[in-house]
Amino acid sequence: MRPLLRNVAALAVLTLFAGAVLAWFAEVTGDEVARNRLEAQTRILRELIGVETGAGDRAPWRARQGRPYGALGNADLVLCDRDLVVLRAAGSGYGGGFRLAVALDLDGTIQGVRVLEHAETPGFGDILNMPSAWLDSFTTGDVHAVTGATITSEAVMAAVERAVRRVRLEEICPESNESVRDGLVRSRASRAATP
Amino acid sequence: MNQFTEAAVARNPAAVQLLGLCPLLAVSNTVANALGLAVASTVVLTGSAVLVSAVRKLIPEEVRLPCFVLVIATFTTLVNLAMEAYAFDLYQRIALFVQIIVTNCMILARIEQVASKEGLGRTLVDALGTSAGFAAAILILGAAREALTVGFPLAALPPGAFLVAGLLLAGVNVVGARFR
Repeated sequence: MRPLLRNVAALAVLTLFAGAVLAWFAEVTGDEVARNRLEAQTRILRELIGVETGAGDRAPWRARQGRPYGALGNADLVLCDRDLVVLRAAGSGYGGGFRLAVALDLDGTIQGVRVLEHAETPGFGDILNMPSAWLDSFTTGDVHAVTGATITSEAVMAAVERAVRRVRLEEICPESNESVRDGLVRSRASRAATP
Repeated sequence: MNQFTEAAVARNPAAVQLLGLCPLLAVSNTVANALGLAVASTVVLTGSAVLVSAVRKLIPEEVRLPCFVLVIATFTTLVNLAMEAYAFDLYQRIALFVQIIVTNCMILARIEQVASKEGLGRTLVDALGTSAGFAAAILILGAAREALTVGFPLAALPPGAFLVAGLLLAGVNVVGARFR
């Protein structure tokens, strides 16, 4: 056999073999990996809801895994409670995609931001891991890009802003009871009245 | 000196050849992380070396390096998936450094120098010896850093890794000079 053909054949066979082995193993571990990721996200979300609002026993929140929600643009609604809305938003940083959870009160004020998944460089991406004074600064409304992690911090800021801008609080809780919807409309109206 | 001790001690990948220093410095902040990376590296090195040795006569000389890297990458991904499924806490702490095992020159060097030329027996002993040497180095560094953190918090941080590793290497050189 000619050397070129032999080389191509060897690489092709090895690549196919590697691909097959990896596909099989990804199938074997898939369920467990998905369960672990979901558990880790659930833990972060619970922390976000519990810590930021001081309420320990909230009604079970409605998870909407992967269900697009018209009024939210590309964000997912995770929780819609009496006085808290949690959105899941996505963006792209320096090392790849990240996913965020953003908690808003019914005025649309940010009550907390947590990073569910990210692929930023260790060290530079540390501002995304809790405890993080930078993530907490979202609740004060005074957020600045971080020197040395400009791409990461600006991408997170943009993703939070996108999620918050697109959310129309009046429309995202269609199943909740009337008083909740009244409350939403009232809080919006009162905010509009006080510039 | 038999082949195993030679690979683990006289040619210790970390302390003598100074290979694989990136994970050695980055993941040695605690003993638990160090152990996780040592196990992952052992599985990747041993698995890749044995597989390459088994098919070494079928790998064309010209494309041997891409073939080796492909085998190493496959084992690294397997270990990474296994960790994400069955050791998720550890995965969240050291995943990045497990993924970059694929670029670890210690592993490519053993495959190029031994596995691609020798039979299964010698390849296995060499891979296990090299892995044991790397594991010993990273565990000792991890233990030293974790112990020093109590009175010397810098030991847990990246600069501490360089300081402690430098002191340990100096110690290894002093002891090594006595034996020569």
